[in-house]
Amino acid sequence: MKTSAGLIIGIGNPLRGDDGFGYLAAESLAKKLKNTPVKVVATHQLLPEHLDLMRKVAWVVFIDASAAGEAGKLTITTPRALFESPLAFSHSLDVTHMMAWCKSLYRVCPKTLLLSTGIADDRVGMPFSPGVRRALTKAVSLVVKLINVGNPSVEAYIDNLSRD
Amino acid sequence: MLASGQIKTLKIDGRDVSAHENQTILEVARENGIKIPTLCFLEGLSVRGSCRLCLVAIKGSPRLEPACTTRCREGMEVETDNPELHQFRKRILELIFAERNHVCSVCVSNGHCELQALGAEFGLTHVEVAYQFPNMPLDLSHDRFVVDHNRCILCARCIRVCDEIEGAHTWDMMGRGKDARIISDMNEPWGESESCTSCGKCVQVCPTGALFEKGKSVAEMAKQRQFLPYLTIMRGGKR
Amino acid sequence: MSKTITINNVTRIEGHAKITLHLDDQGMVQDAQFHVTQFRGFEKLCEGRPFYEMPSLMARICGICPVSHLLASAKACDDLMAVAIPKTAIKLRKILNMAQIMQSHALSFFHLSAPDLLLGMDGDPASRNIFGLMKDHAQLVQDGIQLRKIGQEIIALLGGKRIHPSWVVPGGVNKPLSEEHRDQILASLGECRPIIHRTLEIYKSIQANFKEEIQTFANFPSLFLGLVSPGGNLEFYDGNIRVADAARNTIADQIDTLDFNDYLEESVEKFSYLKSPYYKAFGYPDGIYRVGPLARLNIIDRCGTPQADEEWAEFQGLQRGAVLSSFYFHYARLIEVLFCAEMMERLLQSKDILDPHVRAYAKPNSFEGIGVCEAPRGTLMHHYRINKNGKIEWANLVIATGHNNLAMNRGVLQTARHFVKGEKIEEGMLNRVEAVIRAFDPCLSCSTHAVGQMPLNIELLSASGTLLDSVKR
Repeated sequence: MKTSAGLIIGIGNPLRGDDGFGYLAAESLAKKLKNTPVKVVATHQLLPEHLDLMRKVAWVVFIDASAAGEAGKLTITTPRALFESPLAFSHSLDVTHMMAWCKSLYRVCPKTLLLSTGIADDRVGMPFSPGVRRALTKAVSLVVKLINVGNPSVEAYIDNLSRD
Repeated sequence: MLASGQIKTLKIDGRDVSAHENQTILEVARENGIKIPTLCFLEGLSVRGSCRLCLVAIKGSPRLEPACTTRCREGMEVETDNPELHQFRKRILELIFAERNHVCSVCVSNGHCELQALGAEFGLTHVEVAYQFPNMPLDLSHDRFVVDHNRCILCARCIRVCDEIEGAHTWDMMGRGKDARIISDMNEPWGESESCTSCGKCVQVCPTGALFEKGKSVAEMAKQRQFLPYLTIMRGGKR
Repeated sequence: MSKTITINNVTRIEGHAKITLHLDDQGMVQDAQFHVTQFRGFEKLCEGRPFYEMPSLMARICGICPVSHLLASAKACDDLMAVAIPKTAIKLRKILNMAQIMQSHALSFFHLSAPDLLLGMDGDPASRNIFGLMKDHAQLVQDGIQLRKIGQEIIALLGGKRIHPSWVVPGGVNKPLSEEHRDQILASLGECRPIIHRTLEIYKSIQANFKEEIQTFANFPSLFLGLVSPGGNLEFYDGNIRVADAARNTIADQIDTLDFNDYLEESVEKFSYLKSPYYKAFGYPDGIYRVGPLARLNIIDRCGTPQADEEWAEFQGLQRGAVLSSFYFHYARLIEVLFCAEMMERLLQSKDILDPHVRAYAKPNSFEGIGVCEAPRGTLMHHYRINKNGKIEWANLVIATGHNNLAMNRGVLQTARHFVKGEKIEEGMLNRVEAVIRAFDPCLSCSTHAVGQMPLNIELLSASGTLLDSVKR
């Protein structure tokens, strides 16, 4: 186990079919990463309180479903902080805003990775679609591998990715 | 259970196991540490085979058999789990959840419920069949206990424990299909039952929050069932 | 030609509402209405359930302040059981309630209203939000996040979880406080004192920029209603109801909560799902009253903790008689947070706070029960009737936001008359109309059910319904 203090935040609502992608991935990772310095949070939405966790770590991985993109296709990106306003309604925040908040408020921002997938169905009460289920398994094993192998380190991995 | 008569040998999930005559597949599986999910079954009570969760596949048999009522036969080959069985069991759970109004978050048995635990074990994040939302009454007439039909899965554990262990036979079942309902005496309010001894065994064996102690709040109704095997032995094993 | 302006949805409040402004031929505001557009019906769905399920059931009314409903409901159940609950349980419930008030007030002040207060009512709407705030006021935003987190953590430590704790039960609470958790809570309370003092200073430094708003934000004589302790101190959980008038004369005191209904009457307006209660003895509309932080600080004789009392003295000096401008809700909220921090500390340091006896058991002994407590937004009442077996036969909830309904409507009219002029919609004027509502910090989820989320859309319509002007955010 070679990793610096990190944070994983899975976002979604498991009651809304594929939207539960991030939430369920985080729940699964929480079990797999019990004895590591990695904190795993499963949440229905990003909250300002999560900034207090972000500012204390070297890296953060967000896992979230995306309304755009091919269903079940796992995309790995290194998002950039977005300093524009999230419209008038401040109830929902996204990863780019969280990064900007963290930078503006605490003058630091951990290296950030975003794992996301397009979704087929997010209506209330729908089951997971097969493609998104596969993407979930893939996302979980990718994160576990990154943390457990430790080479490259999560930070180095993110740096490499953002150069491409 | 002592051996009387023949020993049978059979295979469960590819393992060679032996069984005494009259032992069921479920008994032998559990003796050998093989897990088969059950809901209506409860050690110490007669078997009923109504919930169908313990269905297993038997080689050469055209249909699935409930492990709790099927006796072992010589040379049997039993499969307790495969994707198809898993899917069947999951669907059974869904049907149970959809049939009445199970709202875990405000239930006295939240966290102590066998139905909820099975739902979690089977990864039941969604119910794909339509919820029925029946309008079900509560009976709060008893001095100490409550029956909430919304949470009853008709496993009949209460009926069996009351009849077989307490000997009161207060509980029984009325109606068929979706109208089936457990009743006390001749469908009288529980509090007016003349046969009920208020022993509370039915409450303790109920797998869900359908029967509970009055005044318990959310998640507070943990059930105590250790008494049952002892009582069964003390009463000479009437089953 | 007369026109109608609709503000739909009102932003940065809890829930869904719209505002309609009716303009006369000269383009002056003639009438204004605040519509609550959500409908729920919790009172109906609990019929037939056992009464002791009520606290958990009712807590689901709201994800922002579940604790308030939990407590009012548990108190109504205590009343049905006709028991005196253990002293330690009362203290623990009080602490839970104050943690809730702290986090809710922090949300209201820092997240919802601070953008108006610090960036100005006329600021660019694209940056007049908490996001724009942190560019120039990073410390303040950090403080807001921290304060809310502390409140939430205290709730989670006491109740076992953050949102819908099942810790509060009829008869008390179901688990005593552990020494470890007490020490954790005390430590985080120490952290929040400097935050509160810093924020009070900032607030006072900007108050002078809002003379016009202070003048016109629901600034009118009305009655004020809330709980006070038997000695007249600020009280959120226990005590009885006091009503004071605009001159701070107490006109009814220590009203037994059971007689609450005898003092109030409700009117129903056809434009809103929200009921409009008023003080019966004064009739309608003279019986308009306000509840919540401003009202509470107007009716008490003192807060009862040293630092909060110092601030309260300053607050009282703002106006002769009662403080009438609803703009001062913001100030009142900060004083209350300070009081909560002090009072929680005091209660946690009391000798019996770790006492294991925290729950009384009883069957229903009374067929009617009422529970009243102060929610962050004001006086909250749960009123139940049961049959002899303890089954709920009838329930009625009087919600804090409902109390303020008439005052909010009048406030919207006053603000709109002052700021909205002419045919063209200007962002700043409409924001002020919203801001007066925000000052009350209404929680509409509590008072009525939200389905979906509408974008903010302001339309100026002619009398015949044709669109003259529209603004979209």
